[in-house]
Amino acid sequence: MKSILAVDDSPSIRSMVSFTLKNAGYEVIEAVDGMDALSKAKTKVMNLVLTDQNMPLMDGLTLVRSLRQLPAYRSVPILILTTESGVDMKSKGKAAGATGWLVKPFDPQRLIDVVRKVLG
Amino acid sequence: MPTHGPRYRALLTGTGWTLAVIATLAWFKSAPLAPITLMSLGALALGWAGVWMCAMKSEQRAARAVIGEESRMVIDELARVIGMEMQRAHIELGRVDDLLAHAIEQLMNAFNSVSEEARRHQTELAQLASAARGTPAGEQLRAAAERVTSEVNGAVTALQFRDVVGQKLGHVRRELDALEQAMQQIRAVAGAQGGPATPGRQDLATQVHGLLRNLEMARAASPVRQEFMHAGEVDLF
Repeated sequence: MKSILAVDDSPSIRSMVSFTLKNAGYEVIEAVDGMDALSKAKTKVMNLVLTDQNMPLMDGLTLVRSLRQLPAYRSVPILILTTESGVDMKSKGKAAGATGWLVKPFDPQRLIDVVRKVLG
Repeated sequence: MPTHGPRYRALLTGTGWTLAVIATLAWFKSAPLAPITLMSLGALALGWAGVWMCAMKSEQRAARAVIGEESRMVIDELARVIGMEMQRAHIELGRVDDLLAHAIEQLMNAFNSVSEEARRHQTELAQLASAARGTPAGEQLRAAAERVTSEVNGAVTALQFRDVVGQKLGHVRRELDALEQAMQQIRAVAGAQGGPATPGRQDLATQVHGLLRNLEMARAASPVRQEFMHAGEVDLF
């Protein structure tokens, strides 16, 4: 079973992401912010990371940059799921090494389609 | 020590000037009288005109100082009232946040139990539809299973409102903070404008422009542009 690290400081979003991806047959590990995610990513290499942008302690872009510095995460897909939809922010995400940018609220079926696509 | 107004000081200076001219006139009493008297009267008139102009300018400065003091008092009062309103707005935003947190908790609990039930029905419907494939009943069951999936997906999308609204509330809080800071700065600027000019002091227009730019930046930094709870776009790089 492929594992997905879902990172969001909002419990309701974590719950909705987990619900959607678990129903689609994935193992979902939750993290409450970038620091928590980085710590969990180091203990187990995930197949995909789905992270929010605006979070306390460490934001999504910093998490992406930190993960990309880890050899195990050089080619792991990292998707940013955020309320931010500005072109500037998307460019920053791309430059940081993100695989894709999803704007909240997400549609469950679209999320599953994107996850399937990036996981190959 | 009593303070005297500009007119009183002007009167004293003018009297002093007059006495000085009379004394000069007395000094030159041996000279032919007419030219000296005319010159003295001219000097006297010029002196009084100068004293009068100085007195007028001094009065204008005093009036400006009074207006400046009144303006500062008005701005101080305005800043105090706005500060209180900001605090009230923060409290109200906090209440809205608490209400949302309570509402989402209840909705999530309801969703978890309903979705569990829906998943079970969905599986059963799918199995029945598969068994009755090719028949009208099978088609109806398949459509029913799709409807359940669609409704659950709609609920998942809508239930993300807590995060979207929460971020919007956070932005409104930051905007209020920026407004409060701007008001404090206006207060400081108004106070500084009344004091003596110093080389480092910016002019009022520059400072107000800076305040407006800060407010504009605070407003533009909103992370939320969504107007509806429609699913957002997806970009793969």
